Amino acid sequence: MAQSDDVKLEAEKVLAELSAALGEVDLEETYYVVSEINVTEPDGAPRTDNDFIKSLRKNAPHMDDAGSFIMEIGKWVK
Amino acid sequence: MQGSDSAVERVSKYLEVVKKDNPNINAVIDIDETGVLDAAAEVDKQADAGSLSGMVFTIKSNINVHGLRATCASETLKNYTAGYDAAVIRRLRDAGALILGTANMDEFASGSSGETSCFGPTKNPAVLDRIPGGSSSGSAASVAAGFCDASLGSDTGGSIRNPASHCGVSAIKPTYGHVSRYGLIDLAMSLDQIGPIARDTKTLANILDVIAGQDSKDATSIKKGDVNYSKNLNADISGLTVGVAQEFQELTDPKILDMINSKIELLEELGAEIKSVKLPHMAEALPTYYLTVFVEFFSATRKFDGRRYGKRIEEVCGREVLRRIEIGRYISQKEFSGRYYKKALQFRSLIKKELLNALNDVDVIAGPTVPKLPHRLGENIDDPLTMYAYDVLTVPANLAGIPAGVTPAGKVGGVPVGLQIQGKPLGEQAILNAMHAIETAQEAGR
Repeated sequence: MAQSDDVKLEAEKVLAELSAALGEVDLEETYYVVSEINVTEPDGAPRTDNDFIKSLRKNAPHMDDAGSFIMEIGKWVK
Repeated sequence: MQGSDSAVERVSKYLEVVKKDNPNINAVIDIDETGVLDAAAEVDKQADAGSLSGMVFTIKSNINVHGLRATCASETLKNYTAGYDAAVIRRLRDAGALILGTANMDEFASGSSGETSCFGPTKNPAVLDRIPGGSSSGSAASVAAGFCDASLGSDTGGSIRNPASHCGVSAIKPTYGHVSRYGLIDLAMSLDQIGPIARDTKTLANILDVIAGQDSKDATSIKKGDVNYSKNLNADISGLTVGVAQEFQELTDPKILDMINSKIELLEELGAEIKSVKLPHMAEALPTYYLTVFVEFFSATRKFDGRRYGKRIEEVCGREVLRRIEIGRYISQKEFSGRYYKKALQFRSLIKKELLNALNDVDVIAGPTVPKLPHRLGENIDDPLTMYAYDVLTVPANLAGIPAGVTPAGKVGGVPVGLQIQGKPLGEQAILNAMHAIETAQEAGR
């Protein structure tokens, strides 16, 4: 596991150096290069792909007998 | 069909090479021997299995390939098996391509050296004691080592072009949105783009014909009629205008620059017109890029909370990934002041405007890909900013969303160096033609 405190110190240094390298510029922000031409999937009835559900469940760290995910409250909020 | 051998024969030959050399190179994470041989047998049964019939691929381990692990080379997703095919994989399969296995990479594509993978570093097949570049390290190395015909990588700030340059192979990062990102595990969603790596430009054009095009599953994918890069590939570049930016040259090792300039002269001898272009804010591209990446990466990693799949990222990831998460978290908490991310997005507008203005006067911009030669494997680069500097010449194309290709230019002290050619949005054809012209001239001994 990485050394969290060391990394936080390094992160502060990197952020300070990178942000100092940028001056001021008065322009609109660019979020997506193609944001004006978004496409979406056509509406339709929901599909059920049992193979996908089965393979997704195989990836879950914890499942109960009924096939539900067991959700543990994250350690960082305890 | 690729050559006179059957698909099964071709795959078997590649599998033999992978089994022999991969333990040393470490370019491939998982080999799907049964799957690829079965698919090859199916291809052999069909008279016309598609335009990529029998072409053998490795796929970067951050692209979902149904039934194989998509690990991002991280402990976080080491046991995650893809339940579906990414859009690019479906298109490859429909065109008769064969997936041999998944390729090693920098953890979560966060690196430019190929050293941060939880599966261990990849060696550069062209110079075994040097890094292969990254983050698509295994993709470029698997092509260079002769493990496959081609590979798919992803490029957020140079991750296809950098390893292609170091390993002496060809690659192209398409225009942002030209290739669907559906099924790609994000590094930074507004910059990521999937693209091919191969040993020659003709193969790149063939692959791009198949994987490019709008996809309703990717809201940022763009429409561009019928593409036929392979049919229109032309080594005659008379009249092509090639821009050269002093700002890219100033940042580059003089030995690399000499090699690159000799290829720009070759383009001129082949009929191109060389023009100088000005890009005064390119020095700001690197901080602009990284400040954007930190925030978008932090956002992208919030789903790795260890509940539905994988392990909680902060508990198991490597140092560089954790550093990026910490900076992204800090910026996201402080962003009400618009001090970092908003400023980066404003500079992104400036850099994009400058590059597009320069490309109004020329068809392509040619220059170096990486400013320095790859360091020796294991050489400790402690300072993250030194590592980030590898990307200084490649990040502008991602910030502007423009396409950029790399073709081998030669070797400096035995180490391959790649010529980078950037083009207008959806200007892939001009880039491929310039790369093809260089390649054809070099094959003829020029």
